Amino acid sequence: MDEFDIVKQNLDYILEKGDLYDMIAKKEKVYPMSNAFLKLNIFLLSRMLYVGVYIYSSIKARHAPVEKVYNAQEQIRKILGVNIDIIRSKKTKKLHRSLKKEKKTLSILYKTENTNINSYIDHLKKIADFCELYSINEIVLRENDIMALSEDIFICDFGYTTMSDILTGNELLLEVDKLSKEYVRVLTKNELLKLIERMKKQNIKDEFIKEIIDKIKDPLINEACQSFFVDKDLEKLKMMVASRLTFFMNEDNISKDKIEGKVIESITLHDEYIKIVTYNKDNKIVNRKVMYLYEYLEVMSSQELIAQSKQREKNDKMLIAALYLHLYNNDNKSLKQKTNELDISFYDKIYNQYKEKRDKKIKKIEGLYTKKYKIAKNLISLLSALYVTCILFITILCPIFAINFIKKQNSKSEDKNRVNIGIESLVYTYKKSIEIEKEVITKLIGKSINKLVEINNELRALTGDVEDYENKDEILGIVYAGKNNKLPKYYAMDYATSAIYSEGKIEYQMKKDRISFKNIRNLETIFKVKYSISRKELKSAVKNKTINIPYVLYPVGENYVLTGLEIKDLEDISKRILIDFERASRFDNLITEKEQEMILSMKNPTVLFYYGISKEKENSFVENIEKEYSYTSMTKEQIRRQIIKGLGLSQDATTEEILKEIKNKKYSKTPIKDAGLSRKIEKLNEEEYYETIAALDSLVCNLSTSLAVEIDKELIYVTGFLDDGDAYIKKEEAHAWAMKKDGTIIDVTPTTITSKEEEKNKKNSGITVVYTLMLIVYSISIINYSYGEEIALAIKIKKVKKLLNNPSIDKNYALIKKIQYGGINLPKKSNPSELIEKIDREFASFNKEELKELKRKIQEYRKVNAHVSKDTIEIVKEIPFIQQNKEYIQKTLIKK
Amino acid sequence: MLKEKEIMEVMKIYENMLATLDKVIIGQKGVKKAVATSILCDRNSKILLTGNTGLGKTTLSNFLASNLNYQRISVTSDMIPNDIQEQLKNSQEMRMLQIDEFNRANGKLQSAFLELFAEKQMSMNGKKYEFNDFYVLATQNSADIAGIFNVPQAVYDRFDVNIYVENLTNEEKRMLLFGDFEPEKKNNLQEQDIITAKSAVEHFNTKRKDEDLMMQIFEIIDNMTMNGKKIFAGSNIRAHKFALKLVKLVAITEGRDYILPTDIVDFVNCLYMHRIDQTKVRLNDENIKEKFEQVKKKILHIKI
Repeated sequence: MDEFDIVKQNLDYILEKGDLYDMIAKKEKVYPMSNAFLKLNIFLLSRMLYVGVYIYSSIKARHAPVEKVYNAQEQIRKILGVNIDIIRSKKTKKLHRSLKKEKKTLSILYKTENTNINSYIDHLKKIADFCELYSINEIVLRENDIMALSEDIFICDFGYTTMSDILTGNELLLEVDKLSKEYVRVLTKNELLKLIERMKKQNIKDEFIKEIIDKIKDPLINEACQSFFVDKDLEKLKMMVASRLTFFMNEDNISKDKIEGKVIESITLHDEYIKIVTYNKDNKIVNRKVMYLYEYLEVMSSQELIAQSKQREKNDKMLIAALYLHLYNNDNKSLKQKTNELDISFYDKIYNQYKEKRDKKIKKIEGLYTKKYKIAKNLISLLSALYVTCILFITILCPIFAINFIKKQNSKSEDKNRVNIGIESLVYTYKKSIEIEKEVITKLIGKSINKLVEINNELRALTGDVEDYENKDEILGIVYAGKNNKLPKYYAMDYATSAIYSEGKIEYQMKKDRISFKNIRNLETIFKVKYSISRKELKSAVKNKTINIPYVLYPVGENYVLTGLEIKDLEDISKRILIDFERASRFDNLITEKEQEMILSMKNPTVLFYYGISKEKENSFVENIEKEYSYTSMTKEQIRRQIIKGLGLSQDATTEEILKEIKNKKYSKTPIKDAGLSRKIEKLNEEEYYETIAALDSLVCNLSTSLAVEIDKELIYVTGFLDDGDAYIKKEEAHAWAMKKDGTIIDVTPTTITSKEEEKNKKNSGITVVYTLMLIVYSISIINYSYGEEIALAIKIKKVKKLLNNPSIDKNYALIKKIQYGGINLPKKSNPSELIEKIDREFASFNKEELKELKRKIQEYRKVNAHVSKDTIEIVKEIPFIQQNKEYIQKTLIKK
Repeated sequence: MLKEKEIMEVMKIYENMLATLDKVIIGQKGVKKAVATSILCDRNSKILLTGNTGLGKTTLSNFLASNLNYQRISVTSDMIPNDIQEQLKNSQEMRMLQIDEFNRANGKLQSAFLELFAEKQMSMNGKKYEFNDFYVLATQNSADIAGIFNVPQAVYDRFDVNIYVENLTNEEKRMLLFGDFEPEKKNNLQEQDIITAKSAVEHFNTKRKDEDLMMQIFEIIDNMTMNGKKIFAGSNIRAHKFALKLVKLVAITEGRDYILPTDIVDFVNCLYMHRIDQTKVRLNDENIKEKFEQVKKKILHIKI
């Protein structure tokens, strides 16, 4: 590889990965977030995916290739011979362009501590050439450098900013560090050339010229210099001096050469070099040479040049040479002088500090981004990304609202709020997606559910419409069947002790049952009910060497009795305590102090209630409930009358008839809403309330049960869960029913679902599908935006490989040729690599139209010959792709 | 008229021949294809194998000759025509003439070869010896400097193909040195196979579009220039005639009864490179190879 390739490669590497500053910032974890827009969208769409992206970004940042980038820059510097910094642009995307791919560019930063203007100009020239060669169009120079070396030089027409702005991309109110506040000039390539010319001009000292022309005898030079003092036309003077010097050097250019005989030397000037071409008598070139002008004149520096001019005969030549070198700004150079003194650049300083910090010699890198800056910048990016996301969401929502509006035009209900419906559906769908994610995570962790479900301390139950629960699929308990597969359906949590009506709702005061270990029976355990308990709950339940856990998920419906209690730590199987009949009956203190400590040290406690069935009725908590419904203005009879009225029955209807009538209604989760009474019901008095509820077409469990417990004095309002038979007790299975004191369950909840309820489910799922599809499309477009090309290429290549590896490929290919050319075309066995080569060559002369025409011919042929595989068309479709990516596809085939 | 059955037979013969050649030398896919095609398309093919030492030219040549009635001549620089004439005078039924180190032949010997190749006859002591169809399989070492004579263009032109044997890749060297590769010695190519192939080529009737295509190709080749001068000295008719047979054979081995530009592309170098006017361009010049590559691309883009 030649130097050009090396530099290009290194520049591309820096462009791709980032510059040294970026790498160190990433390594120090102060680099602001990239792709904020994408990441925010990923977060909105999927937290799981976001976590993955976050972890990946962190690992990538931790392994930022600081040394590689440093070495790349060093290689470039070595070849260039100037200590530049390569900066990769740090500008952030503007809002309106946030959907386009960001285009990074490179710039050069150069600063010097050198006080030699010629050296500086020389370096600038090298940088200018470098930028020309490698198409870099931004050069950043420290303003002080220019001003210090060239006073009064005009640079106001060049853009300026601070170093901090270069590093932060001009973000408002964000600064990097005090050190980086210095002013810099930002120049394009052409502006740099202008600057160089200006500096050169500035460097021309009139005093030197005057001094020299006093000594020069050549009248033409003298005249040119005098003219220069008047018109200041430097170019004209330079041309004249160069021309005269060339003349003088070529004056005695005929000499004798031992081999060639008479030879003629022709000398031409090129800046500080001269080219000498030697011709023999036949005018054939016999030698070519390039050397420094100094070398030719046999001096080491311009001072020596002037000194020698006093001694040598042809001193005019030497003096003109000195003037020439001054005008071309080479006179401070000498052959001894080094032309590439190294300056310590800004990035060098950062890098050195980085190394020192790594070796723990310093604590902080000055000049680097700070954490505060990172946070501020991230915030700005996130806010702007959020802004765009919201705009997009709204844009997507508008047509849906329009569709909803058109669909619901016929709706008469005053409660229909179309915008709300749209938003609710969207929120519902979004929540659903979060729930799906949670489910996935739950499944990944394992079947053992270890959620820390807090006991609802609110011992109240309210009647009314039931909206979908948040996290309705949350599993609260698991029932493990024993030998007998018959498992309870009802699991009670709380029992109502009193009720009060208020503003369209009945509020029940609930009571929980508590375990009495004395009631552990010595019976066969038929099933177990697992309940996740929080450490906090456990702590409060375990005190004074006893355990006082409230009954939760207590099975009802049969004479279920407790046969044991187990508390175990799911993270440490050695931590376990089982309280069986023997233990419960043996000790006064149920648990020892050590055991208490052990229980309290459990990191992931869970409780298992062991149950059996007793032949006799025992321990019915219900029978101990004292029902108090006294906080009402109505008597029981008045309430009953209203309910009967609402049901449309005769006033002498029996309790059974009434309960049956209640049960015969339809079921809906939102009966009040369905009837359009959501607002009205709050204004009803108690009397109107009971009548209205009883008159509803549909009821939900809490409403039907509230009516039942008013009709039958014996019935207690119970809340708990009704298992659907899958042995998982889920939040959505929350239920209310009535129980007699003897433990008999009276469940008057209607079972027939209303058509509206069905429709609602369908609608929700319909809208859900629409919105889910939208989300999918949106997420695909995000992924496509970032990785579209790679994904598309990978998909295409997969498709092509599939086609080529098809056993019928030879046949299909022969058929294509037959259709195109006619004649005999027998299939020839070729491996995929050979086939790619064949396709590339045999279709090299085909343009798009011709391929299209071929496809059309094949389609026509297939109409008549149905057995012809569709692959024939697919192959023709992929021909352009195969031709363009031939080598890549062949490589992937070889890899396989 | 070419029939499907014929095409299938020739395809099979060709594949078998390639498979057999794979057991003779490692790699050199292009060489094997060129050799197989040249032998099958014409019973009088003159094949020259050029390459550095140790690449398997002689091995290949010996292999191909092994199943035929052949004569072998190992040329030295002091050989005279009488030497070969004595050897060949009783071998008029030979089917293959193997010539090693062809470029060592002096001018007189070259003339003798010229007569043999062109007229299938030999003149010795006033007597003429006529020969039946036979292949010529000559080898020459491109790295050899000493002891070679300037082979005239007219002699080179007699060779239908000059197949350049490339250097081995590292992988091929490894296989040769450390693998258990043992070259096959016995050639199972039957005379009948050659007859079948030749017959198929003869039955290949070129249609108008095939003729137009070949004319376009030949025109492109004939008009190849370098530094403003045509690189071919002659009219290339001899080369084109052979190219036509070869291309027909290639089309048949691809299962077709018509010609496509791709049929000739792989063989352009071996068909024409040795016919370049050596006074105008240096052989094996990198520019020449580049030129030929350009021509191949042009050929591939001919519209049919």
